[in-house]
Amino acid sequence: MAFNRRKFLLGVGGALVGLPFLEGLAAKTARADDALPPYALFYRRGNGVQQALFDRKPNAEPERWWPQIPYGSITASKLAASTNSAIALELASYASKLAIVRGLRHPVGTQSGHREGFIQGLTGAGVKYPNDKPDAYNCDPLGESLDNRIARELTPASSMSMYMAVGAHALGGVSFLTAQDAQGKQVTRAGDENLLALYSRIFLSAERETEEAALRLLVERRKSVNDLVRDQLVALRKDPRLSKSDVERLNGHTDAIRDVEQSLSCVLPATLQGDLSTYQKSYDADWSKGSVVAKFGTVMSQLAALALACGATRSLLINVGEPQDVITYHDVADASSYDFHSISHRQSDDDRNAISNAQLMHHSIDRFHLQLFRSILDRLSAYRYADGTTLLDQGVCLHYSDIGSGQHEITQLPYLYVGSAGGALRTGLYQDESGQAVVKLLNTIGAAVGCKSSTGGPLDDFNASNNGDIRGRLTSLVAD
Amino acid sequence: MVRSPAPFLMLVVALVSGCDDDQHAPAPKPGPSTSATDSDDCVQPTCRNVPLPLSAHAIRLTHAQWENTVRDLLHLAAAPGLSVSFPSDPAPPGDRFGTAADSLLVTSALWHEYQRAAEALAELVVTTPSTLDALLPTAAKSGDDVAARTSAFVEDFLPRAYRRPVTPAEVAAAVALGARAAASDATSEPFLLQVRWILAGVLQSASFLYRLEGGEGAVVDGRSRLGPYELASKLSYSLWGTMPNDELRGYAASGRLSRPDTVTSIVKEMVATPSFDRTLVDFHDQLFRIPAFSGVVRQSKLFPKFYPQFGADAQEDVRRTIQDLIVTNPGTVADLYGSRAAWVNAPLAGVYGIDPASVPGLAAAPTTFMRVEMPRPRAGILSHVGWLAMQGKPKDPATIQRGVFVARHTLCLPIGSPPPAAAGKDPSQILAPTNRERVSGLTAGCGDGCHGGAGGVINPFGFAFEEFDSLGQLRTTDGAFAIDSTGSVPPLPNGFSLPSDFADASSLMALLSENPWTHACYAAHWNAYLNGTSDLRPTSAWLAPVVAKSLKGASVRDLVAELVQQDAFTTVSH
Repeated sequence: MAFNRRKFLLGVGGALVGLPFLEGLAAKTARADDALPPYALFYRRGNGVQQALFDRKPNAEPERWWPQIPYGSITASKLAASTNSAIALELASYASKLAIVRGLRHPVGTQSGHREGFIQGLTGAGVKYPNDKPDAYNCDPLGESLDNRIARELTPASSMSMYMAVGAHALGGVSFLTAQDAQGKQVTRAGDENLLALYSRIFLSAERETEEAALRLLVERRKSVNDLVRDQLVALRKDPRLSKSDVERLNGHTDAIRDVEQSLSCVLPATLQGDLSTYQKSYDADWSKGSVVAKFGTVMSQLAALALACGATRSLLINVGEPQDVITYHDVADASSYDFHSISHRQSDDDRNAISNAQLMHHSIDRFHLQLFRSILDRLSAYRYADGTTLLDQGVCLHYSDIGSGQHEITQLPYLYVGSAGGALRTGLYQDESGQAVVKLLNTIGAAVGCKSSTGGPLDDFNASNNGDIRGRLTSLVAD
Repeated sequence: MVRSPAPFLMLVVALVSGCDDDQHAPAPKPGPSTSATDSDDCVQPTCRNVPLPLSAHAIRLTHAQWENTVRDLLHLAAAPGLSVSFPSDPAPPGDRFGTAADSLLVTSALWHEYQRAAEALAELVVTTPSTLDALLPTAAKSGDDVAARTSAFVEDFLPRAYRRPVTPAEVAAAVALGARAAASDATSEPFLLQVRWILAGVLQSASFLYRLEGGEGAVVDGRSRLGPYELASKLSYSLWGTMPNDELRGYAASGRLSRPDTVTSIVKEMVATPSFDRTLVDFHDQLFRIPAFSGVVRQSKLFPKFYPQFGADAQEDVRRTIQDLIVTNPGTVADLYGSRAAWVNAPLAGVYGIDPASVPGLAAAPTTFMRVEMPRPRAGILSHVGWLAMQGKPKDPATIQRGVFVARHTLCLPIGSPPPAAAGKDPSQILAPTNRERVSGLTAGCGDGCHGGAGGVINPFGFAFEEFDSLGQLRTTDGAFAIDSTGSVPPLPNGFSLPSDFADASSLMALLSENPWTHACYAAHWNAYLNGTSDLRPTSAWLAPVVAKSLKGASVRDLVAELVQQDAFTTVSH
């Protein structure tokens, strides 16, 4: 990993500081455009979404995913008019930073299985059928996934994405490397389900304890000084003799202290290590993992935001559930009676009986995932720069499922992103891209964070040699 | 070097009254909020009943002030130099002194540097016995009662750091900061540990980093007077560039800074010190953009007398001249713009067209700077080779920039920004035989009131320097054609006028040296420097007493002393 772990140490109360690193970082990050380079975060969840399309019928169910508003620019108030849409219900507050990309499809699929979907979700490259005939259960990837491509190209010393998972039971199927295994298949990665171990690997230093202790003291004392100064500034701002511009300057001073303490200082939330430890115990005790997904969201969002803020990675993948998600979502009250895969098919996997209200259960799980996704956005937004932008603005966060709905549709794939990758992507829009291949969105995102094509231009040929030479970006999403 | 006003000046003053046609200054507002001067007593152009400037009440120290302050506060032998890593402050348009409060912000990057610098200084103090000994009061130097020693240190140090009496709560907060540090580390010597972190904290505190000028007492016409400690601090930072010393704080404590008569004597003492000499140098360094001289580069093929050290030598010339005129001697505004004094070494003498052999001692010591009299048509700082070369292009003089500088920075006449259509255009693009014709051709479409034509001042002022090439050397021809440096500026609607046409830079400088707008503009620049504003309007009535003294030949030192006793300096707006 390119990130230099040696420079990070755990401070008292969970404060994590990497002093040599920070001193260089803070000087460069007075403004967001001097800040960290763009990153990509991928949030993947399975089983498609509850939308009008189901079982390959365009209006089989009520629409509860896509906003029922015209395409074009979106605002919170416009989204609010679409009261049944999970996106509108959960992401309206991010409307200005959101792009809903409707109508994408995979180039290949039998429409009868999950595997073709989750293989292609981040590769956009079709699938390889070993028996040379379409087989939903026997297919392999054709190309690396974008999360690893970004890491490999932009952080060569750390050629894999940071990959967190919950309820995946060590199964792969979402993230792929260029390397091949002994059978000639591309290596499939499994997400890291031990977040405490992940945290330790990234942030806990191998420094000697004495150095840790010294830095811990320094962190503690700096906080004391900052508290003293903050108190002074608060008192000063209350002085009625001060003008508006005086107060604005003092507010800027207060913001600067916060910036240095938080986003620029790479400081962990005080309770994170403890939370991670608690979470991991819960996780390890729940074989099905169905009772810990909300807890996962709480710690995952903190850890993800911190890793990005500290520059530990530029590509981060979060996967919930086995590629074919069989979690029983105990955190979603009205959907806790069945596993998600059953719900997504509207019938029980056990007895094949129909599940009443399965559509609404699926919708509730969709909203739950968006809530987890939003918790990441909230964390990233809390890292603020002096110019008013946030860490969220510096990157792009993609939320997707690799099939359209529970019946394995490879069309109407539910992709959306939040964040402009430092201004490279358009946001605040609801875009119709009907019939376009997912790989064009992947090209768009890859290019936005800095990936190049084989000819040196912005990425527009990701896995093109494997997907029937589908090239190009979705220009409607590229900022001018 | 006190001079009487020229006869024509009296005529100008007599002719102009009210000055209400100043089209550039804002319309006077009803009500008071002005200094005592009324239009009956005003000296044109300072006749408008313009309200006193709005005040900032929390003004962050400039980086130079920070350096000087920590030097004095910690009794260091020299400024620590740590601000070299501080990010530069942005200068708002119009402000050329970097003292405007609006540009003195604490950004994330600066806060980080403040943090590092404070911690470094704190460590320096506690690890340098002599520095620590100088800083600690007697009661804190020794003893077993660490808490008592710490309190004694804080009670002595904090009022100096905050530049005012402190409250028990402030003392307690600082002591608590040290106590927290000690509580977390059982291995370090507790007193030094506490001192170290108290120092680090105080050096980052708002009361240290900001000059707080809220004013005290009754608010009259929207303003109140600075409190004695506030005034001590403002005087000290404005005139000395550093924190008030013990004597000045003593004046504040004794009430001497609350009485106008004693303030006058205190100011007189302050402007007679070497610290103020440095302020004089710093002000003129910025006023004439002397640091920019170092960027002058010319091709030796076009300018055989150019040499690599030209910029540095040209800086030395002007700085020594200002030192000579203003610092060592009681020089005046008229001297700045009219004196023929220059300081040259042998190479620079060559650029001036002076034979080094004609300067006693220079041939024997060619690197030594000697005082010389510049030959006509040179007069004033704007005729020194450094300034002229700074306002020069690789080949031709930068006539327009020279004219703009005179209009905007010598006379404070409002000059608009170039229109977008002027971007990328240069006189060299005009086919004409002389620089003057090329400039005229380029700017002809600008119309009246612009570069030339009726009301246009830029070109006439710029053309006055046509006898100086792009390196500041005297020239008699431009190619095959004789130089034309003549010009005239008809009276402007705002009241500005020259009593006669001018033949060259020397005669223009003679006119400007005695023009009230020059003196008012100079005072306005000092006002901006001292009060931290970017307001360079010379038309305010409260400048009138200063301008009147300047016109009568008062020294620059005395003018500044007068300015800091004006209400614009000693009161704050609310």
